[in-house]
Amino acid sequence: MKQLLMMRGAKKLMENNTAVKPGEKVLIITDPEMVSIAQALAIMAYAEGAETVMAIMPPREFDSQEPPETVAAAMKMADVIFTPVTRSITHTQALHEGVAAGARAIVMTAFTEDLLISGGIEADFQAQKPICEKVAQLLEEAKGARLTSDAGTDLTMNLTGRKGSPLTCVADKPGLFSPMPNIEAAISPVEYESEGTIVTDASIPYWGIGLLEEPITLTVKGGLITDIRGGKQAQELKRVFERPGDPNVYNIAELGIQLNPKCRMCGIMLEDQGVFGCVHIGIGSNTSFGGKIQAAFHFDVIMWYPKLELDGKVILEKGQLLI
Amino acid sequence: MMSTDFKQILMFPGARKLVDVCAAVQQGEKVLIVTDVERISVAKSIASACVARGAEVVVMIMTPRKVHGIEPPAPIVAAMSAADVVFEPTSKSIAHTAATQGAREKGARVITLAEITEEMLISGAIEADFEAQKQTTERVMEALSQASKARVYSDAGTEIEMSLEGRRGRALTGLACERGSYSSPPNIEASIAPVEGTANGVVIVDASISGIGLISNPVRIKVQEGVARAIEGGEEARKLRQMLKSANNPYAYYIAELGIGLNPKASLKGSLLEDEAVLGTVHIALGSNADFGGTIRAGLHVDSIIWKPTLELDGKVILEEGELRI
Repeated sequence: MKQLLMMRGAKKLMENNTAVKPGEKVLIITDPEMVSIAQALAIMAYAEGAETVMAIMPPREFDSQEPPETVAAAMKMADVIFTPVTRSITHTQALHEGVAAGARAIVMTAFTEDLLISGGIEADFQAQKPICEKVAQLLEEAKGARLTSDAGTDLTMNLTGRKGSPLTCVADKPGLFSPMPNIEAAISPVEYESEGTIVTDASIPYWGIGLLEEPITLTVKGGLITDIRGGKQAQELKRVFERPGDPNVYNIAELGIQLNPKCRMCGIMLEDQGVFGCVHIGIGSNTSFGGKIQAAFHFDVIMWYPKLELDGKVILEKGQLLI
Repeated sequence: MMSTDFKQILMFPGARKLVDVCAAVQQGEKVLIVTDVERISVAKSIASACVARGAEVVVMIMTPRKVHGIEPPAPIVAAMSAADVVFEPTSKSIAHTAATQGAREKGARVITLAEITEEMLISGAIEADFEAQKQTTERVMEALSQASKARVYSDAGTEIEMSLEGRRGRALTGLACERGSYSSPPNIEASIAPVEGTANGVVIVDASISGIGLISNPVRIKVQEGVARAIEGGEEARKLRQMLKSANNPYAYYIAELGIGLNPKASLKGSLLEDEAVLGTVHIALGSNADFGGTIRAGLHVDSIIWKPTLELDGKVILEEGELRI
C-alpha cells in the first residue's frame, strides 16, 4: 500500500523534474534493495506513455563503481534515466556518457520510500530553480568566501576562477542531470588555500554516522583538514579518514549552499544536503566540480544556518538568503 | 504474491539447469535477462541461479510487446549487444528480432523462453538430460539434411509428402554453449524448411497448435503445391483460419517447416515451447521460415503438432508411430 503514497512524488519527477513525453525511452536503474521505489517510478513512466524499462543490477560494492556494461550500453540509448540505487553511480563513466549522449538524468542514491512521499520532494522545483542559479552565479563571480557560525565555524576560501554549479533537481533538457531532492548551489574552492575551522553540527550522512549528537570541529590549514575533535562520532570520522591511507581525502573540495525549503534534516544523504539555509563542506575529490583532486572518496559535512559572506557581502544568514 | 515467492523454491532447480547446463554460464560472465511484466517470477528465478553461479546478472523489464516478433526498447537492444549471455523469458517472443540477431552477431549466447510458465521450470521437459539428447537430435538433423523427400502419415489420416532437396536441417538441442549460438529450452527438436511449393497431401492436426493450445476436434489441413488450401474441423480450425487471415499475407498459408520433437520428458501442455518438443511428435508449420534456411517471410509462424505419426525419409522409416528408428 505504501506504493500509493509514492505515486505523487513519482508523478512530479516525471512531469516536473524531467518533463517525460509519451514515447520517450525511460530507463530506471535500480538494485534489489530499491525495487519498490523503481516500481513506483516505472508505474508513473508507463502512465505517461513512455517506453519504460527497469534495469535491476547487483548493488555496487562501493560508491562510484561502474554499473555492468549491459546497463552502461542501455544508458546511452535512453532519453531519461532515474537511478534509485544503494551505492552511487553518479560519478561514473556510464552516467557521464549517457548524459553526453543526450539523456536527462535524475540520480537517486540511497533513496528511500519516504523520500518519494514527503519532505524535499514536495518543493516547487521550477520556482526554486532561478534562485539556485542566481546563488551559483554569485559563487562563480566571487573571489573569496568566508563562512562563520555561532557554533564556531570560521573558514575562508578562495573561489577565484572557479565555476559555480547549480543543482536544481530539474533535468528537463538533453544532457542535464541532477541529484534529487537536494537543491544546492556548489563550487570547489581553490585547492590548498582554505584556512580556518569547520564546526559541523547538523549531519554527516555517510558511513552510517548520520545526524550529529555533538558538534565535530575540523581544523583546516593550507586547504587540508589537519585535526578532528569532538565525541564518539568524531572518532568514527577520524577512522574513516585514516582507512584509505590517501592524503587527498583531507582536501576541502566543495562549498555547497542548500536551497530546498522542504527538506528536513533526517540523516539521509540527499535529503540532508538540501535543507534550506544550511551549508555543507565537501571533503575529498573535487573533480566533478571542476577541481583537480582525485581522492578515495567524497563526502559532505553539514552545518546549521551559518553566515556566508562573498567578497565581504553577506549572502546567507540565520537560514535566510539575502540576495 | 506470497505463493509466487515460495514457488521460487520449486522453480530453482529448473532455472539452475537453464543457467548451468543450457547456457553453460561461467563465473563473472555478463548475463542479461530480458523479461516483461508477465514473466517476472521466471526471470527472478533465472537471476537467482545466475547469482548462485557467480555471474554478473542484470534483469531488464519491459512492457509486453503487442505480438510475437516486435523489437524490444532501444536501451534493451543496446544492452543485449553488450552481454555474454541473454535469457529471454517473455510473454511475446523476441527470438526473431534484429535485437536477438544483433546480440548473437556480437557473440552472445541467447536462450529464448517465450511463453514460458512457472510450471515449465518446475517439471516436465525441463527435466530432460539435454546433453544426452544432443547426439540424437544431431543425428535426426543430419538425416533430414541428407534426405531429398519426406513423407509423414498417421492412423488419424495424415498423409503428406514434401521435397527436402538441398535444404539443411537444424538441431535445436536446448543448449547454447558456443559464442553466437541460440536455443529455446526446454524445446528439443530437429527441423528443416521443406522446398517451397513441393508439399502435397493432408495433415490431420490432433495434438496442439501454437497460439491455440490443445486440440479436441482434429484440424484437417489440405495442402496443394506447398500451400494450405483448406482448413476444416471445429472451433480450433476456425481459430486457425482466423489467425492466418489476420496476418494479411498470402505467405502465411505456405508450408514452412517439418520438425520432430525430441524431448523425452516433454508432454502436451498447450504451450508451444513444450508441445513441439514432445518425443515422437511431428510438427508442420505454416508461414515464415527464412531464418532457418527457407525463403518465406510471412510475419507469422504457426506450428501444428501431429501426435506420433510415421516419418519416412527417402523411403526409410525414421519415426514409426512416434518411435525413433534411428
